[in-house]
Amino acid sequence: MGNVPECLPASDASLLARFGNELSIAVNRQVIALFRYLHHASPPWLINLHPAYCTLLIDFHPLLTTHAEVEAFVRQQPDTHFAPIGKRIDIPVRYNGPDLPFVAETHRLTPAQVVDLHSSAEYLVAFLGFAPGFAYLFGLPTQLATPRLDRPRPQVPAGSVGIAGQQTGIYPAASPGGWRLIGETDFPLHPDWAMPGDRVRFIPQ
Amino acid sequence: MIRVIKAGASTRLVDIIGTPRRAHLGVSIGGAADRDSLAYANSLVKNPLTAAGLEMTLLGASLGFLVPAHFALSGAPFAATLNEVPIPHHQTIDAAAGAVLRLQSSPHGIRAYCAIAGGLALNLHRPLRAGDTLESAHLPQAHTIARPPEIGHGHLRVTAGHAFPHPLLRHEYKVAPASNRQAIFLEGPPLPSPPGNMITEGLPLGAIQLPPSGQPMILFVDQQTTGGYPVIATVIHRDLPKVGQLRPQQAVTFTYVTFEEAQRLNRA
Repeated sequence: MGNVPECLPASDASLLARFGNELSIAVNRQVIALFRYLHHASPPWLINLHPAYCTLLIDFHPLLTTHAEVEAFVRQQPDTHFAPIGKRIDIPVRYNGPDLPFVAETHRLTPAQVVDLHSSAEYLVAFLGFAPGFAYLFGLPTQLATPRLDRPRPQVPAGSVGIAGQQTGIYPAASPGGWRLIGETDFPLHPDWAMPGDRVRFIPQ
Repeated sequence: MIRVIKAGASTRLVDIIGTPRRAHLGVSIGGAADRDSLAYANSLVKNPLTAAGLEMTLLGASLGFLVPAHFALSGAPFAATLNEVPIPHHQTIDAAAGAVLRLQSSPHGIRAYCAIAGGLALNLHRPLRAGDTLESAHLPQAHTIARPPEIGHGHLRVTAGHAFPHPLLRHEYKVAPASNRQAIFLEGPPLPSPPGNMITEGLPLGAIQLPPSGQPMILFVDQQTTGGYPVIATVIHRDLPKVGQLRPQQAVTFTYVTFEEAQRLNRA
């Protein structure tokens, strides 16, 4: 028997499946496994799936089913402790971001060492959210964790690669943002460029 | 088939389905803000309820018919004329080739809908601009029934957030002017912001989030798919179309219902 999530009604048309309360790859794998199961089973009442770090929100059509039926469907998930590994995506990056010197100084590294650290790690796509194609990644080397800007930039260009706390990510579209920008990519970030469970590497150009 | 002469404040091609099954890519559900009104307009012109039509926000568009068409208006009762003659909402109207439909605005509600017999091709995913040409989807006639929309009151029924069993939304709020299809920002007596950091999680349509400012916000059709502010309540499915008609400065009040009551109301 795999870990069964706690199921809570999040609205009259959605159920929140929670696998715990910690930011860990092990918990996120259970989210991804349940996401993949429901995504492929594709029950007719399914409207949307919102995977996150330790929860999966399941939006359903409230005229076609109920919380209890959706929860029963969730509990029929075959026992899979580990989600199958997703595809690997290489993102070419020019490490020339305006905050690269700041990130380096903060951690008493040279910019080249920051680039080495950032591009030698393999990242796991925990989920996509916030905006179309915005991936939340696990795997930033802890030496690179850097707080956000005090004052967000009014406009961050699409393709910017940044760091915010323990997170790293890429802006798929231009938007305001408070992440420390270390580089940029021309990789086309259509909303479906990655799926939860995919692996990402940044390749210095 | 239809030429956009003036686009109005914000006019879009929408349907009542939106873009489901893409939230895991960060894509919100989208679609008509007031699904009841678009469905009703579609029923009047014998379209499938899922046909695409026009959503006009705050100030309506001017449209030129290049071929004869039947259309119907619903939603906010924007003043409308066809070739300068006033026309009513909630009726099927015949337009000759060359006719010009103009929509203005209305004192209540904020979004008007126009359904054209045969439906429109949903091929422009941006606000329309003067000069755009809209094509028919050539859908076959369907005999459908839809419930007439309720426009103009800000009384919303909600279920409690799972971490907030005690009703917090007991005051009257006003709709802030910055509200849009992403979120309706509410202004009123600030609520105490719950302590602690929340881990980012998925957000359902109609979620009412409480940011540190203590001013709640209702997440709507173009919402962010995940977020980290606590969700103190969610609007029931049946009342989501009313959210799409809230005007800036309008008063909003909340009534808490149980999930069982919500289910009964949704199916009524």
